[in-house]
Amino acid sequence: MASDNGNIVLEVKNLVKEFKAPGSKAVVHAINDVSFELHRGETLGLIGESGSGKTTVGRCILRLIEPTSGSIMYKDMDLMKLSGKELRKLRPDMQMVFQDPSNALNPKMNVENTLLDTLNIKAKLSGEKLDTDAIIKKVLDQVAMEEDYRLRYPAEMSGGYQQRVCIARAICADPTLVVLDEPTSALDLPVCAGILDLLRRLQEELGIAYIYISHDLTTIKYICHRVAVMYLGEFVEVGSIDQVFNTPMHPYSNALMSSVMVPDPTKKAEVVTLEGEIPSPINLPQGCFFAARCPKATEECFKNHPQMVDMGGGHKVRCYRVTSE
Amino acid sequence: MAENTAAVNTRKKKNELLSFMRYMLRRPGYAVGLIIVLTSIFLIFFGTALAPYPPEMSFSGLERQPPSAEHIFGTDSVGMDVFSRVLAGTKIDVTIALVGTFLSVVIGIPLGLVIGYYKNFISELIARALDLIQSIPVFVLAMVLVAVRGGGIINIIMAIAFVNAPIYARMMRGQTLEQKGKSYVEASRCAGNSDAVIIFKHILPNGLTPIFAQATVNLGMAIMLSAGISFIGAGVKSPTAEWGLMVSMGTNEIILGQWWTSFFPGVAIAITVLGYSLLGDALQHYLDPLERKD
Amino acid sequence: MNNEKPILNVEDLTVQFCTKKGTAKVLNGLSFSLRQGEKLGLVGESGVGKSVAAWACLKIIKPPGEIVSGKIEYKGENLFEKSENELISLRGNEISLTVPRAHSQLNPLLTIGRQLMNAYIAHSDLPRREAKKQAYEASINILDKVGIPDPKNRMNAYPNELSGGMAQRVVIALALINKPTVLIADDPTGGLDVTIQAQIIELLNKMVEEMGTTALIITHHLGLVAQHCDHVAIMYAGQIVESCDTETLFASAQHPYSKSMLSSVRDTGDQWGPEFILPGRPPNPMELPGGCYLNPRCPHATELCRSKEPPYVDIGGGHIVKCHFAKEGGVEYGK
Repeated sequence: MASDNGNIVLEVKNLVKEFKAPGSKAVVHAINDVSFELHRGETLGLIGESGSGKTTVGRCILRLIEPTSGSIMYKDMDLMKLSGKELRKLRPDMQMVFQDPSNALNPKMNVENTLLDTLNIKAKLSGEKLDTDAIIKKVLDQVAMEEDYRLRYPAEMSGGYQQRVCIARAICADPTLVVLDEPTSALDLPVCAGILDLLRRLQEELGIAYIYISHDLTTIKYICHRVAVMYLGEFVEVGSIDQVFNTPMHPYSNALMSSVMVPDPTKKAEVVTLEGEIPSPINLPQGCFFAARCPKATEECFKNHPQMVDMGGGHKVRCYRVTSE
Repeated sequence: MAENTAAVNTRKKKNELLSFMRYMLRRPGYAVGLIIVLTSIFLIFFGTALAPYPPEMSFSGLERQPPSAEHIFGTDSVGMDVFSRVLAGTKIDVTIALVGTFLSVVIGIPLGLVIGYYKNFISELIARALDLIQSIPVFVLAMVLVAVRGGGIINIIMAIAFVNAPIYARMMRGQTLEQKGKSYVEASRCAGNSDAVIIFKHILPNGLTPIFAQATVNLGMAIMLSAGISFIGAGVKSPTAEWGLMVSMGTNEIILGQWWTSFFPGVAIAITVLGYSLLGDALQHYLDPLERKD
Repeated sequence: MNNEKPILNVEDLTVQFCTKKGTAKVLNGLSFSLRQGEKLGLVGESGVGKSVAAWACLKIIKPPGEIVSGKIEYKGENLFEKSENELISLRGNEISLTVPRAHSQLNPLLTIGRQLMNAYIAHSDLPRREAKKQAYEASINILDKVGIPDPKNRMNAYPNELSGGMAQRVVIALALINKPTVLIADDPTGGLDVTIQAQIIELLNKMVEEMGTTALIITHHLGLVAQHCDHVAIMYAGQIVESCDTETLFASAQHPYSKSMLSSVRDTGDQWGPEFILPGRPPNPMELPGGCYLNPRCPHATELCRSKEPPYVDIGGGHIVKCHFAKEGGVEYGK
């Protein structure tokens, strides 16, 4: 996709999020030093297991939760330095689609009011006059919903349609960035396919940049241009879909890719099964976070924490065994 | 389009009220409750007018008359007509309960919303303080309040509002915490809404229903409370027509066999409390999504 | 595949749930059979009655659910003709079940060791003390086998102390402790991360191989089916609409619904493009359409499809399709 620097929508540097574990003094290190950039009209996928902090990254970028440190440059503003009011002014530009659509819509608001909620704020904060009626019509058409859904309440719609409303709400204010937090995980397969197609089409039409968070590698592969593999609150590998899926470098990505069960019985995959599970984010391991589960770990891996190294073509990896070779 | 939506919404609400009425009328127990409640509300406005005698006037020479054709509930020790006083008493007791409960809801809901939405040291402190108030028996607390501030209708209303407000504040806090965890609240922040809008436009409507049901059940309790306070002599003073006071005035005569002076106001209290409790119960069942509606 | 008599044979199974709102016809003449040592994948969207089929195999359907007709033969004997006592000795012993969302299946008040031992003792004829001793040994043994580190200490752990993957392992251990002949795994990978899914499936495979267990895997994960099942049965509205061996299905599925399922997975290659995706959703089991249950969604539906239920047609090599247009060699529409 686009790679010239003038097109950068979002640049995140050294993002860190720590919070107190409930009921104790321990500190949970949810995100440890995450940096990336996002171009116009591009989709960056965040993959990782539960507990890897991928959802937290998504919420921190929109400052739905306050990051502990780091910088988030949106166009030429540092989101971290904005006051509450300035941030609210920017909100319509950066939207989010949530995991469970039945939870993400106000049950007491019909489709029209849900969209108006966003549109009215945009009109108020920017001082523009919006033809809300026409916009709603257009947006419903874009997400392939019939006009008569306008007055329906969330309880009167199926999960797929609820998710379409959520997407409509996200795009109605003409955003530049949409964070998609596992938008298909609560949906059945055929419905999920429809939503993915819709998201892809909207991106082509509107040039929105997506951050797509998921643990489902199949959907990531389908919708993303670039992908970042997360492990215990940090990126371990970033690259294009082709780079990460076909030539994964980090042992963790390697295991992750091989554990995907391909729906094709003629391609029996050689599965690299990992021992154990993701460690607790309270007591971070001293060396490489992955060392304890890594089949290739050496002494160095347990002692020092590796840095991200660009292996060429924007394919970055955080592993001593790869970078020292 | 906007008017259109508004019209649909009001129609929806009206239908909701009608279908709730239908729901109650189809079930004999709830139908009784509905009739009692409607009657009590009717009597608030027309009770005094319907009374055959002025409720606060004593007729000398007609003291302690048993129920008869002229005085169907009899007369009390100072010669006031018990039937007229029971009818007129509705105004005092039910109004106190309604206004008191209304005030407690009005105080409790915003308080609960705010301490549920903002989670910090102060809101925790307030929440614990509310727990503390709730741990004191309602009647004792109300009695103390009335004793400190003196009797009178206004003070009884204040007492009822004060002792009940923590119930709603706590319920609303719980609702807020639950709703806050749902992603539509996050989505409305994403849209750029201010905290106030999120709290009152998004969280409040979704957390309100159980509070309504609780408030209706509590209305019955509030009637008991206001009658109770007057019964022990801390509330309104004679000759105001008030059920609790009437029961208390009549107790001395029961041993003389003159049961009617306290029996009828007592029955009035019991029936009214039953009516409001049934209404609350019906509302709770009606709103329960797991129960079948018709 | 071998052609011996099936170990578990489900025939024309019909299950209904009678509620106040009406009768939900959840299973409508479900038929499939499991042969010794094979792994059958039962695939369908949520709400097509997959889990109910699993419960029916153990006859643990509770009111308002009711088995209306059909039979389930286990080793040639009809389960529905057995007494409750005979069934009890069968459940968890010869046929066992793992339910989805492992955390909720485990009793939160008992340690996992306790639960394993209970499952063992329930099917032991030995005197109580000896049974207990054996149960303890067996439990540690099985925990070790399912790959739980430090099984001796873990025996004293409560379910809430386990992660999702560990809980799923314990559930599998529970199902396998009595070395069952048939294992029904209901959505064994649901809610688990990919690497954990791989671990669990590897474990299931290993166990099935070591113990010679026959497995019925209920899932909506087509990748899992493609990689690990020998046979597939596609379920729609409480019926099997297509069944064949795995290679055949992924290479040349015939039923419109199977095609729709395959094409909604974005990794099945070029032959299953999005043009096969059917509009609409599975029918509500309270208001099933007449004729073929797929007819309102099927682009090829004719008057025949709307009026008459289609038969099961063997189009060759044990590839069974429930469609009016199915005939020897494949499905041809419009005839």
